[in-house]
Amino acid sequence: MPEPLLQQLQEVFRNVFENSSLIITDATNAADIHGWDSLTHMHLLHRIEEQFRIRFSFNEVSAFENVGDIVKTLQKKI
Amino acid sequence: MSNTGTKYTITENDTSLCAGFLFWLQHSPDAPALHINDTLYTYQQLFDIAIPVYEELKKYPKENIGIYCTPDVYSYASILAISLAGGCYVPLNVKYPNAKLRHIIRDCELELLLVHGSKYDVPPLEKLQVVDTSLLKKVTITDEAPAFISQHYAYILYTSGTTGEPKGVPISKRNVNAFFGFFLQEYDFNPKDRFLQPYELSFDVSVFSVFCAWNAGASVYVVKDAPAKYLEIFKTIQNHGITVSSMVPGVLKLAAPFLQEFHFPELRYSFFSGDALYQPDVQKWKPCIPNAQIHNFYGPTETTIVCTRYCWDEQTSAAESHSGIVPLGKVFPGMHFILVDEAGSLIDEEDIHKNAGELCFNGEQVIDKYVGNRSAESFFEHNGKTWYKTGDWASVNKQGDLIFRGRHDTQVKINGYRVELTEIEKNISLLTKQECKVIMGNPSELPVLIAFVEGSKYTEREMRNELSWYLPSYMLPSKIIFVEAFPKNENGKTDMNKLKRMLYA
Repeated sequence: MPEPLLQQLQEVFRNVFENSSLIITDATNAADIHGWDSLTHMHLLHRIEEQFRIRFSFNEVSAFENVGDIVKTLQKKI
Repeated sequence: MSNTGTKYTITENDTSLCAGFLFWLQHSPDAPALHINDTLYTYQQLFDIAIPVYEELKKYPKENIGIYCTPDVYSYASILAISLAGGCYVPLNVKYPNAKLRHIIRDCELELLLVHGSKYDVPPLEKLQVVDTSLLKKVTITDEAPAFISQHYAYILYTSGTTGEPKGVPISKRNVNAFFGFFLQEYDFNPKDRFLQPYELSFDVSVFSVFCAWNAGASVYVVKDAPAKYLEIFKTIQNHGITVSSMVPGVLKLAAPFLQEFHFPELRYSFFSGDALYQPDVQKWKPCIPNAQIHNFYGPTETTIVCTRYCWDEQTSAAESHSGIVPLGKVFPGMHFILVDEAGSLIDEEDIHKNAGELCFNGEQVIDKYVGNRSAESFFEHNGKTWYKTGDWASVNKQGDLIFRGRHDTQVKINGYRVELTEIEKNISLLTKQECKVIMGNPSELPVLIAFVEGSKYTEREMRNELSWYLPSYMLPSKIIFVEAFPKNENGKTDMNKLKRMLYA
């Protein structure tokens, strides 16, 4: 059985933010994670795209407010 | 009311940054002036917010007035009020650590600080009086003139310093008048223009975005502060039909995956400054802005925001770029440059096309000195004039444009911010009592700071947390590598090449 989406996403987050104990939920946003800035945001999007083999559009990413929004968009795309 | 033909021009008598704002307040009070946090304020509405602050300032005859800059309309109104009163504003960035704020307050002998609301964390200092502008009652403007002792400076900004402490750059009203004189003369900005304001108020290009717009009777659109600010920049351009944008070049690299989706036909001018602009990035950006001219500006804070300009030309600019970097262009009128070689000798006119030298400026936009006369060695006399050494190396191409050729010291640019690597090194060494070296990785892409620290008791995260008490976030290293003992070369000095190789180990 494939890993739930949130868990797969959590692995990507742990990688990008170099924090192996990071726990994310739908409500997690940039204010909750230390070091979330423009550069890490760009890396994060890139890694998610690679992991799920999708491409986000500008309008999609600019509407992301929290992890839940990313999950919802991913569900539509994969 | 139509403003066709109405134009503000700077005169000798304009002793305030906000003279243009006042001109347009009279001509078109109901025109939009500032869009911030989803609210649009007219010239009159913004002025009405500034009046109580202006009236309050009359009680405090101080020359330098600090503003605890929160991303809201009140910081902008406070800048207006201080300028109107003929004072000099000193922006204190709320994101700066307390130690840096304390240094700034002491260094420029700040005795008055404007804050808005109770959510402020100002270091308590004996002489500092704090005025909470949210407690001020609505008043009408009175004729009584403010009693400022000196009306010389317009603002003071702090930049990274090699000594480990930031240094204050005081910009005089003569400096800013020369700067805005160029823009009013050269550009057809008008009240219909919408200017992008993506900068924090402690970053000098914000003065361009705000006051250039107000000098033209135009409106300023402040980009929302967000962790991924580069996305907000393009959202603002898209949603508000921005016509004049100014940004640091790194934004184009961050947004590279989306450039093909962008189409901003309303943009008339796309300005860049703050860092090297790369020609391939411009070529990807140009199709997004079919009706815009792209201008690359250059200048350290000490020469008042920017003092050279290069206009991108579709046909010739790729060939004129050097190592992929777009030329810095020609100096503004009233500014002069010379190139000085490593031995401190002037490079002759006939050799400036062949040899690179340190770029030095003299002219109306150059500051007289730093606060407290620090770094006096940055200035020197030549031919009876005072010149400022930028630390940037340049040559001149056949077209007469200045070409950026790098730096010979430890100053780097991170997202437009000037960073002295030694300032970070000194702060780390103070913590660890050991040697530390900081380098910039990935310089031609998206630069990051990497610190090498000799044997430390800290973990990477602990050290970053500890440093955040002393350094602003843009100066925190993205990577900290702990090394038991630094490799040495035959002269006993740290072998930087070996150290850098550890990055890939």
